[in-house]
Amino acid sequence: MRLPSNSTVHLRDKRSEKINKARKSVGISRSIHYKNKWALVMKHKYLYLLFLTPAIITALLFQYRPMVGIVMAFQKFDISAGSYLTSPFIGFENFKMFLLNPRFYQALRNTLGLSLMSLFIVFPLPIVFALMLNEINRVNFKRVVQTITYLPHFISWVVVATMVYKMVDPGSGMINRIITSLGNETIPFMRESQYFWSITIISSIWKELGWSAIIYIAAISSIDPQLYEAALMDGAGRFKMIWYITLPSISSTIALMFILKVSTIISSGGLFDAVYNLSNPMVNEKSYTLEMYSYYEGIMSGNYSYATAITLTQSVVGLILVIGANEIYKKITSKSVF
Amino acid sequence: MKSKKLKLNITDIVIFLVMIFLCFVTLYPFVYAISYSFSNGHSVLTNPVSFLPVDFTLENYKAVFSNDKIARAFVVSVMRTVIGLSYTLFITGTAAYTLSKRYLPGNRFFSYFFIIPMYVSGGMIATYVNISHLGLMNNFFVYIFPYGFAAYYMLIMRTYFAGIPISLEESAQLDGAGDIRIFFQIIAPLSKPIFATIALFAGVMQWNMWFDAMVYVPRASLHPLQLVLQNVLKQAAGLANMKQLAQSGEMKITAEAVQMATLVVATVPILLIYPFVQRYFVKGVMIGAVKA
Repeated sequence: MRLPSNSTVHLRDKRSEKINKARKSVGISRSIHYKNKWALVMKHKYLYLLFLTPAIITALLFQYRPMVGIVMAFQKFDISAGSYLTSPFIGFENFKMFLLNPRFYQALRNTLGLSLMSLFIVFPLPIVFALMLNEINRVNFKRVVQTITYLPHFISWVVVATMVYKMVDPGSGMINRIITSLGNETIPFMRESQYFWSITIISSIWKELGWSAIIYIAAISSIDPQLYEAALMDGAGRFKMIWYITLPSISSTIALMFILKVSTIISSGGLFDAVYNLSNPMVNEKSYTLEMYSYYEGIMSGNYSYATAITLTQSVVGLILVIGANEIYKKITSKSVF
Repeated sequence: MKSKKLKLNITDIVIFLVMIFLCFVTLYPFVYAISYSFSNGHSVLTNPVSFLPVDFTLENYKAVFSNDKIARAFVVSVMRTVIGLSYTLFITGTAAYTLSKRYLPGNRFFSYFFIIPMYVSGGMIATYVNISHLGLMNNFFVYIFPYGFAAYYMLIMRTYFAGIPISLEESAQLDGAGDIRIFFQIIAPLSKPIFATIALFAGVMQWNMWFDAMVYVPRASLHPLQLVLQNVLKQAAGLANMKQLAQSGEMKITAEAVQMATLVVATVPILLIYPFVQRYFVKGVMIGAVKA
């Protein structure tokens, strides 16, 4: 995955550019001195032993070791019995079980509902925001807007959910006070499941709009200003410039982000934190996503194999989606984002 | 690109208004929560908070800081943030330095080895079983050890280390310094900006993390602030705890007001450091985006 090469140049530190030049002028790499690889390893043995080994151990224990756990999906695994080695294999029994369970289809519907809203409503907004920001000429105002809109990204979903509950509270919440002052009835937003998707989506826009725009802001700032000057000479207005210069220039960034987003269709658009914190028993019907399903089935109820079968299916579908989306993009534009 | 100051037209005005609206909507919940936390909980029931505190009081904060559970949770949060980010910086930083030396044998292999888990993972359940097998349940170090190495941070740091002139190391080598000394005495002091960036990424992640505590640590005395706050939101027991707290104090306090004070305590450290470090964050994200 990479951005257009011009943006790479733009993003690099001026400092490191200078350094690279300096390095070129020196024109040596130390590898010349060592023909023998083993001698090189021995020379730097402390780098391998003291600097690399802790990271390797961490990756093996906490990143690779769980991958072995995927075999649980094909087993009848019991955590008290201990190891994967002793658990009996039962083939695709777990997969069959969840495919026959109506709870699974409810979870699938909620997952798809949330992720499609996230794909078609949330995804375009940061692009629009970046384009609008780019139209602001006053640097200080722009900087203030950026600082403020990036802020919620750094707040946990626990805090955000607590604030959402307060904002939409039927008694004292600002939203309901506005609704009543307009002469309407208060709406118990967090008690009726029909509002749950919208509340989750709006909260996620509130939290991530500014932050998700960064990558587009970077792409826009790397566009050659001469293009705009030439367009200005030709008498193009600001909307023409956006349409014919800005958007085409950042289209590969948009495509990349879109394809990455497509891969989360099967995982509720990456909104587990939001869904978990915003949900309550009264809105279960709309908040019970596949992640919630595997969390409750697996960790809360101890059906590890069953839940692993669900998460494994999700990862495989996610991988197929991302490859498929990339293939379609290749067909249309004869470019690949990966 | 638009160096000429154009006259304000209707589009500019619309954009200006949209931006002002966005800033207002972004900031309002913070203002509300902060004002609520300084309000008399009972007055708020009849006279809800709009912008300013109603019947200003510090009782809510007194209740929060005199509560053992919340005070302990605060300590846990601070500990996991400080220890966790130092540990991550050390493990990931040293690995990134080694991998920044492209001429070392095995560089390609180890790079792939570290990057693959960015795209493939065992998933929530397998991770849970793994932690349980490793005996880290109910252990403070479950907040620390799993986060020691992160490929994303490694990529950002490696890019930075690779940009440091090799001649600096060579002259130190001539003076007889080994790799380890070169890293700690020459490279690390030159890399303060990147260490600061990663420290902030890792620190914010640690401070905001609640899922690991909820899943791996049943013991309440090891719960961080975020989880305590979540219990108030999601569990009757958490709210009952707040109610009890409210009753033990003076009459000015309600469970909701104490909840808001807890929320502010769980948020303020980030609000305080954020304006100073925002540009580092943005730079880090951009390097990461290009690399990933």
